[in-house]
Amino acid sequence: MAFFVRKLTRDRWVPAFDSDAAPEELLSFLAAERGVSLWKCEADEDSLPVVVNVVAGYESRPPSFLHFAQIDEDDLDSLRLELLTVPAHEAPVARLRTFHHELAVSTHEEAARFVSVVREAPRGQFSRAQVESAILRLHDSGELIADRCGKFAREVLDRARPREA
Amino acid sequence: MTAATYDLTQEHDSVASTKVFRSYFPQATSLIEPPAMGIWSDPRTSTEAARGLYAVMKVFADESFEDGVESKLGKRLRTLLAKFGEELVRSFSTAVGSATTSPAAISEALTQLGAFRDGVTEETRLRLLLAFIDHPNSLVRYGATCGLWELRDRRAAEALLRRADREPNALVRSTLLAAGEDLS
Repeated sequence: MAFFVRKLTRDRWVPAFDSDAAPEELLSFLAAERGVSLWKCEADEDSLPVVVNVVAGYESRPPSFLHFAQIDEDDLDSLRLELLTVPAHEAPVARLRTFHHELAVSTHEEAARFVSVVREAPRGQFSRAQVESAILRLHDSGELIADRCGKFAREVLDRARPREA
Repeated sequence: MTAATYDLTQEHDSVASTKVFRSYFPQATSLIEPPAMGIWSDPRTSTEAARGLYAVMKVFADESFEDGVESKLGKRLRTLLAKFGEELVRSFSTAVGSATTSPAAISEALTQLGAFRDGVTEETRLRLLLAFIDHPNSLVRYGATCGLWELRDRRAAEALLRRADREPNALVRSTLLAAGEDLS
C-alpha cells in the first residue's frame, strides 16, 4: 500500500494542530505552499530515504525535532483533490526526484479536510542516529549527492571523512 | 500571505497558559494589552535596546521561517545582543508585545536567542525562554522550546517535560519531549 510523507514545518503546521484552528488560517498557510508538497512511497523501506532527502536538503536541527506525517493513499484519494507529479530536480537523493507530488488545495473546506487527514495520520520522528546512518549509507551507495546537502548532512559527511581516510 | 497579527486579547490557547505567563512577567502588560499610546511613547519600551528590537521584529513581521534554515532575523538579533547584552533580553517581552509582531517572528527570535553563545546573558535568556514555554500561542511555545534545546542548559529539562504533560498541541508536545529528554 502506497503512502505519502509530508514534513510538518513549524510556521505552517504548528498552528494547524491547535484544536481551535480556524479554516481561513488553514487555507492561508496551505496557500503559501503553492501546492502542498508530498513524497509518495511505495514501500516502508522508502520512508527513511525520503526523510533523509528532506533533512539533507537544508536542515541543521536534530531529526528528532522534525515531524513527518505518513498519509495513507486511500485517505488522500478520499479527499478528491488534484494530485500532480512534480519532479523535484534539486532533491539530494536523485532516485527520489520522481517521488515528489503536489496536492492542489484551494478552498477553506478543502484545507480543513486535508488538515483533518494529516492530524489523524501516523506521525514519524526519526532519531539522529537513524538519520545519520542513512545519510552515510546513501552517500556510500552514490545515491546522496553531497553538493545538494545542507548544513546537517554536510556535517555528518565531514565527520565521517577522517574515518574513511 | 499576510502574517497573522499578534494580539493576545484575540488569541488564547488556554486561560491557564496566560495566567502562568503573566505570573512570570507581571510587568509585561503590553503582551496582554498592547500599549494604547504605541511602543515609542511607552516608558517601558523607550530604551534603545527595546526600540532596536521592536524595529527588527517589525521588519520580519511578514516573514516565514523554517526549522533549520538560517534566517536573517537571527543575524540581526545577534548584532543587537552584542550591542545591548542583558538589556536586550530583558526588554524582549515588552518589545514583542505589539500588534505588528507575528507569532512566527517571535518564535524564530526565541529559538535564535537560545542558540547564541554568550555566557553573560545565558541566565537571563534561560529565564526568558522558560517563561515563554507557557505562552498562550502554540507557535511561540514551539520557538521557546527549540530555544531551550539550543541553549543546552540541563536545568530546563524538567520544566520542558513538565510542560509536555499539559501541552494541548501535538507537535509542540512532541518537541517538548524531544528537547526535555535530550537535555536530561
